[in-house]
Amino acid sequence: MSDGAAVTAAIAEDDSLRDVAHAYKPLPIVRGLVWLVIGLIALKVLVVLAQNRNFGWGIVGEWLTEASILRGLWVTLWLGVVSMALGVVLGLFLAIGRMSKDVLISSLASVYIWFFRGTPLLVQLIFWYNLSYLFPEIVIGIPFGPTLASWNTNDVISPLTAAIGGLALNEAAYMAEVIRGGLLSVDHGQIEATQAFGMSPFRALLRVILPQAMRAIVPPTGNQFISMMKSTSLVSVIAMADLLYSVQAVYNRTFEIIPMLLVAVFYYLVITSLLNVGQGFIERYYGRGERDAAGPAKAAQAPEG
Amino acid sequence: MTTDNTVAAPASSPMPLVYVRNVHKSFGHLEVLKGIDMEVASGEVVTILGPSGSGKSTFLRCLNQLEPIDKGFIMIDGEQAGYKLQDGRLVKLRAGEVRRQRRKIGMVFQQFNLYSNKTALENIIEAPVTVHGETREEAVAYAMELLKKVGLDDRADSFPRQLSGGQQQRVAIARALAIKPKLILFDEPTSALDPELVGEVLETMRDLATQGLTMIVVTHEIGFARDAADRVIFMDGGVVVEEGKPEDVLLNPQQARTRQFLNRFIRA
Ligand SMILES: Nc1ncnc2c1ncn2[C@@H]1O[C@H](COP(=O)(O)OP(=O)(O)OP(=O)(O)O)[C@@H](O)[C@H]1O
Ligand SMILES: [Mg+2]
Repeated sequence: MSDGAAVTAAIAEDDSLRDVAHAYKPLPIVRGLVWLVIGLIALKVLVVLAQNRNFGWGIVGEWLTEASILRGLWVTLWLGVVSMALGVVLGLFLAIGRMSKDVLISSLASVYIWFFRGTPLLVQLIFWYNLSYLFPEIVIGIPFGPTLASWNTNDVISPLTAAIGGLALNEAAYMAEVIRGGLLSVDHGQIEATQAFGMSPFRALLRVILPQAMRAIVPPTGNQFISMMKSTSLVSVIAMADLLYSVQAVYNRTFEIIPMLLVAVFYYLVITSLLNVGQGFIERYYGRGERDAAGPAKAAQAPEG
Repeated sequence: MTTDNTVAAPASSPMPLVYVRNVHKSFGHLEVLKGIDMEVASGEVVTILGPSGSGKSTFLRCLNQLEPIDKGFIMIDGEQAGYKLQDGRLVKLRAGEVRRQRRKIGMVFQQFNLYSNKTALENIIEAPVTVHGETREEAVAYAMELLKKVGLDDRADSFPRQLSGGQQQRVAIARALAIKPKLILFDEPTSALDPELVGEVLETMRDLATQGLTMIVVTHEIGFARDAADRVIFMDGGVVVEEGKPEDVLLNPQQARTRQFLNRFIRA
């Protein structure tokens, strides 16, 4: 008893010292070393980059704002955005198709995804570009019935349509799986509630299921989008004047290969960085309902806990 | 067309709101409902008691056509659930007609199932606006009234995750009321709640019970069955074992299985 009291008194003396709010941190030795080593390496890299004249930073600066390069950048930008948008929309239909109870529809979607994911994008692009070898005419009509309209394939398939078509159809196969994964992540109770209240499947998808699936869909879609912006560089093989093509056009004349590639790298990095920022905003928007309310909810529960 | 669909009421007594005859339901080889007969009059509050696995949830889901039944039939508000008589033949309804039938029935789930991407208010007005064609203003006004009724008008803009379980369930009850249902189904509305939150939800349900709503409540809350129900139905093994006034079934059960089941609660 008296022992206990003595101990308590001793502790009481230290009370003010023991407040963790005023504690000192030990020096972070290991972390400091790591920072030092990495800092040194980074410095060395910078020096090498600056001193090696073959990088041609001056040339990079000159060509960065050249009209032909900016035109190429513009083509890359909208080609990527348009193809991605088409890919997402088609991918949504494919995802719904794959989840359909109808065997015909789900197998069709599966076959599509199997084919377009299973063959190289470069091959698909060249294929669309050369479609006229297979089908000299494109015909719209009723199968085995009358023809409604027909075009010469070479008039329809320009580098532009081949590029958009190729990129979008390929992207759709990947987006279908991304979106399907998102839809599957939604709690079944949510779907049941929409049914119980007499919502149509379409409305339930639009108003309840898809918004919740977005949390799982957005991060991999960001990946896909970034990948798409870089895949657009493949269209230079079908004579589409995108960023890479414009850069190549210059270094084929001037032989300043590395500086010109650095120009392209610079812009690809700018584009993907902007996409990262955009993704962050979208994720925050769809995370709304998940966010723990530090405010009123906690306060209301406090008396019980 | 609709006249085909309604059954002529017997001359003496009006057709009960819910009229169930010989309903069977199997999952694969497991027969879960083995011939259920049930009638619920308009304005009646019925509680269904029964051990776990006796088919209570399955039965409620059949009433709302979330599960198809294998045999027998269910009439709700004079219409056969999921089917109609046409030229002397029974024809399955199309999906759109099934949805129209479901719109008369509100449902409250054990796990609340509030739409997690929508605030409390948005949850309540969703069906009235998108399914029942009310204007947003009407729906919001009525939703706020309902939120006040369940004591949550200050939480209209909270998302489900920001609400306690009891608050979520009260919002879910308001959501079910918002469609002005002819019938509300409750599937163990308090089973997922911490004990100290059960009271607030039962309080809300007791209120409703006195207001002339037709309710079918599956619950393990014997107290609610005793105080608020007009009738208690005891289910076991996929059949109705016993039913009657709460005081009769709960205090003086005729069947051995009912006594066994109730004894567990008395001892507990
Ligand atoms: N979708 C399903 N597929 C297969 N079996 C099912 C399905 N739903 C329910 N069952 C089975 O049917 C039986 C009855 O289930 P039900 O959920 O109706 O019981 P319950 O009376 O509600 O029980 P509890 O009090 O535990 O909720 C159980 O054996 C269950 O495993
Ligand atoms: Mg159950």
